[in-house]
Amino acid sequence: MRLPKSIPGNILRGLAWAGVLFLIAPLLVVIPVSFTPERYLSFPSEALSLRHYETLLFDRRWSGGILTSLLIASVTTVLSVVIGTLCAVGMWRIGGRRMQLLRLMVLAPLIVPSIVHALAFYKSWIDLGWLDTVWGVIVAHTTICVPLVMITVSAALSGFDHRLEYAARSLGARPLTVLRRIILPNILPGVVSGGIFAFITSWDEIIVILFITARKVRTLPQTIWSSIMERVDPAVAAISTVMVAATLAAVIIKLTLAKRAAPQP
Amino acid sequence: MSAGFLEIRNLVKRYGTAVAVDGASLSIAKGDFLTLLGPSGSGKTTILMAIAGFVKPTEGEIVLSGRNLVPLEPEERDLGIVFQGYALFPHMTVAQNVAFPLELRKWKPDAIAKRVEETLAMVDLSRFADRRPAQLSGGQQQRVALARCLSYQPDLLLLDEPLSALDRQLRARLQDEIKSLHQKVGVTVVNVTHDQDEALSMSTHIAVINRGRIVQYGTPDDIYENPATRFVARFIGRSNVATVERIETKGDGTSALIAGQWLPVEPNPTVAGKAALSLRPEMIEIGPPGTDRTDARKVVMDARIENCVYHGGTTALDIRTAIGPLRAEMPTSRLGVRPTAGATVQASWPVRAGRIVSEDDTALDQQ
Repeated sequence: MRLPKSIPGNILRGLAWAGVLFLIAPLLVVIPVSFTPERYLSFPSEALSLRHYETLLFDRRWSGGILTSLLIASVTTVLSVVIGTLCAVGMWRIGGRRMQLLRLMVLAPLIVPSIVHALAFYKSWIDLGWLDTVWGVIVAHTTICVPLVMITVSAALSGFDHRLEYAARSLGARPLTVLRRIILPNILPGVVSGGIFAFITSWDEIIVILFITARKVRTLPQTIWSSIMERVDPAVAAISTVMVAATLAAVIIKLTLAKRAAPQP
Repeated sequence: MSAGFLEIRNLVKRYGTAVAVDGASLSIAKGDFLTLLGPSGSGKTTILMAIAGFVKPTEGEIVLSGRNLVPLEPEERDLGIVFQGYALFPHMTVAQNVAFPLELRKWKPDAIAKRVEETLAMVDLSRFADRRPAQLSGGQQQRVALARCLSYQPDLLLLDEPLSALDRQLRARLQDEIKSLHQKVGVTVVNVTHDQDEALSMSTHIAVINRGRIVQYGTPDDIYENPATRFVARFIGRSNVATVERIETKGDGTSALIAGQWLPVEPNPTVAGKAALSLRPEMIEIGPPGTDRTDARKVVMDARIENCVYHGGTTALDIRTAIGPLRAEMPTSRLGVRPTAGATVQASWPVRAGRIVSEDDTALDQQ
C-alpha cells in the first residue's frame, strides 16, 4: 500500500507508536499493580511486594485453578493438534470442491459467536451428563480449537507439493510412513503454531466455561472472573502479569520456530 | 505380438464422461527407452501415472515382466519415477534423499552408506551429499532425483517431463546424461514429453499420442521419416500438410490432386480413407525462377515469398504456391540471394520427399 506523500515521516512514526501504546498500555498497567503490598488494587507507592504472587502459589483457589486450566489446555492441545492435523492432511489429500464445502463446515465454530456456542454446549452437555466435568470442558474446548489447528496446518500444506507424496510412495513408502517422514516434518511449523493457538485459546476461554461448569471444575479464568466479581483482589493483577509473560514467551518460541523453518527458496 | 517386458493392453481411463486414455496398447522390451510424445492434454501423463499407480485405469491391463501392476499400490510396484520439478524432499540432505528408498527397503546402514556414495558418484554429485536440495541448481536437483531412483535399481524408470523446467542448454546436456546413464545402467525407461527434439534424440522408441490414443509407434527415424497421419507429420517436424482430394495411379506413376493441381507422389498402400500430403520444410528447395522442369523425380512450382525469418544457420521462408501456403527451411548458405518478401521464386522438392499420410487419426487403428 502506498501512503500519501503529504504526511511527513516523523509524524507518521509518532502516530504508529501512539497506536502501539494504545494497544499495550492497558496490559502494562497490571504489572506495577501486581507488586502492590496492599490488599486492594492500587499502584505500589513505597514498597514492592510479592505477596500476591505467593497467593497464586499457596491459595488453593488460585493454584487449583491454574492446575485445572493447565490440565484442560494441555489435553485440549494434544487432542486438537492430532485431530486438526489429520483432518487438514486428509482434506488436502482429497482436495476438490467438496472439500472446500467441508472446510467451511469445520471452520464454522470460528464463525459462530461464542455465546451461541456456549448455549449449544450447555444444552447438549445436560443431555450427555457432561456438565461440570473436566472431560466435558476438554471436549468443548477441543471442538473450538480443532479449526484453529486446521487453519495453520492447511496454510502449511498449501505450499506443499503433492508430488512429494507421490515421490515418497513411488520410492516404496506406505501412506503412514509418508505422513510421518515426509509430510509432518515439512508442516511442523504449522502444527506447532496451531498447537500454541489451541493452548492459548483453551487457557483463557471463559464464556463456554461459565455455561458448562459450576463448582467442581474451576479453571483459572473462572477464578479470575469470580475474584473480580466478589472482591477486587490484586492477585488478579499478579496472574495477569504471569499470563502476559507466558503468552509473550509462547509467541517468542513460535517466532523462533517460524524463523528456523523459514521457507527455502 | 510376443509378451514384452512392459505390456499395456487396451488401457482406458475415463473421468466421468471425459476420456483421458482411449484404449492404448504398447509393448516394450527390456532396456528400451520409450518416449510417450504428445501435446498437453493428450493423455500421455495419464498413461505414465497409470503405470506408476497414481491413476486407477477404468479398463485394461498393465503387466511388468509377467506381473500385473493394476491391483498393486504405488509403493508395491518397485518402480522409479522422476517427477516434473523433481519432488526432492526439502527437509532432507541430498544423501538422505538418496538413502530414503533404501531405508524403506530395510537395508543395513553400512550398505546404505555404500550405495548412496556409489550412486552419487555415478551422477557426479558426491561433493553435494550434505547439501539441501534448495541449495542446488536445477540440473543438480535433477540428477539427485535420478540418483534417488537408481539407488535401489528398479526394473522400470518413469520420467515425467523432468527436463521441461530447465533452460535449453542445460536440457540438452541432461538429455545426453540421461541417455548415457540409460546405456550404462541398462534400465528400461518410459519418458513423457511434449518436446519432439527430446523424444527424437533420447528414445529408442516413440509412441505419438493424441486425444488419448496411440497414433503411431516406432523408432525415432521411422516416425520422423514415415509419419502415418497428418497429426504426426505436423507434431513432429512441423511438416507442411495439404489435403489430398484424389489419388490416381496410371502407367507412369501415382498422382495426387491437391487444390486443383495434380502432383506426382509416391504411393502409400497403408493409407486407407482420406489422405494428405506431408512435406518436410527442409526438403523444399528455393531457387531462382526458370530452372529446368524436366526432371521427373522432382516437383517444381512457382512460388512467391510472403515472409522470411532468419535463424542463423537456417532461414525459414513462408511461400505461397499453387497448392497453398508452404513453409520451407533452407540452410542459409545455400540461399543464393537474400530472399525478400514479394519476390517470385521457384520451389522444388524430390517426389519421394512428399509422404502420403492419413488425414485422420481415428482412421488408422492398427495397434
